[in-house]
Amino acid sequence: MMVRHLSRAAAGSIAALACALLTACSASTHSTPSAVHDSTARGAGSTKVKVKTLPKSHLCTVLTTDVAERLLADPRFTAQVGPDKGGAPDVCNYASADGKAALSLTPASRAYAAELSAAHALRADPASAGMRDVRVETVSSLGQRAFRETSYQTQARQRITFVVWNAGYRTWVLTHATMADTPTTAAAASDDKAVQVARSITAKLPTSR
Amino acid sequence: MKIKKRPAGRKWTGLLAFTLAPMVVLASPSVASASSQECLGNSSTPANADIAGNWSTQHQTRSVTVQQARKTWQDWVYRGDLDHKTFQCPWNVPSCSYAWQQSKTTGWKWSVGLNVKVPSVLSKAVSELAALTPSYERNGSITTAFTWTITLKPGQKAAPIQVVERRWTQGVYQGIYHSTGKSCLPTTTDINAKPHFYTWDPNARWGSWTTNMAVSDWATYNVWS
Repeated sequence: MMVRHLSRAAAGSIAALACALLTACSASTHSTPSAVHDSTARGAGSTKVKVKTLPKSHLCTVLTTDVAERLLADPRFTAQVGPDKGGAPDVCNYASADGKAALSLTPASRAYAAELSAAHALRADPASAGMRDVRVETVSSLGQRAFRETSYQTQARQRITFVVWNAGYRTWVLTHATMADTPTTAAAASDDKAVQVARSITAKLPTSR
Repeated sequence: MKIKKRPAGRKWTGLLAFTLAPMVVLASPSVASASSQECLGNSSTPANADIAGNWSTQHQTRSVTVQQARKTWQDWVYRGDLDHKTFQCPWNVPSCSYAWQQSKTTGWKWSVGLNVKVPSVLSKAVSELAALTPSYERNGSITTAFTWTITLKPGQKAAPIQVVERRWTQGVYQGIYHSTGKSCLPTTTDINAKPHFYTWDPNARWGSWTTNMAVSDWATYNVWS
């Protein structure tokens, strides 16, 4: 049962991460923070089709467009659609103008130790998430504890870097995804621009629960 | 010609003999001289039956909204999880960003769950009464390009949904022809018509209907753990 569950998850993961980049192009049209946005489509029933997008996250005051520019070419804020029910994770998301790269900042949903454990689990079984070449490295001089996780999504052909760090009572996740036809060797963690961005913003992030 | 009017308190009693079967306006010389009366009827209309006004009569029965629910409810006209479009964020990654990246068009009805209440003897007229209710058989459709992203926590599932927001609405029918009980000349086109004179009461409210009327439509993702 577990195996089937995981393989299903892997297939979904591929699709989702592919979309994360592709979405960036069109999502840039929803750049105004507001509770409800009109989409361009119209229903045949003469009503405007509406999409419920979330207000811009306060995290975007930390991960600003200027900061995102260090990793993305011509970054555009990407609005998040709100789920029908339940809470949505707080996230600030940008995409490059060409839609080939994305950057997001969000609080981790698990404790730092759990994230680190999950990263090692992924490294041991990358296929479970449709990935390969998973590397997990400790990062210094970032919060109290930090690691970088790099991987390659085989179906979506994306190189994904997660920077996960613990600062105060909170753990943060910075995700950088880029389109890549082939997996490339990630730069050393100390030289990784995603790590550098994380270091530059961590002092501005909320530390309380 | 004396018009036979029923007291207000007897409206419903009169309706027991009411029908909405298709009518034909039966023109006869007597109609022209009695402007407040119409010679109406067909083969299935009893002589003492009140009838509703429809397309064929001078006056038409209409539906009137009398009550609406304060809150609306969501009618999910499309849910991707039933269509095997569910995505699950893997447990072993810190975060997922998901967009379905597909376009979906779904048709829906403006009015669903229509319930018409009239005396049982009038059941054959229900379909015609239903047509009087607002947005009856009006179709809508929603086209959504699910290109927006949603961030998911590890293990969370997501699927696209299209939602029609609906409001429970109740109403009545207004306007009815009361039979005078007096016959008028039969038409040559329907020898079984047994036509009678009727008077139009524009303010009589009778019967009831309830339906769930569309008020808006939108799309998003359904997210669950």
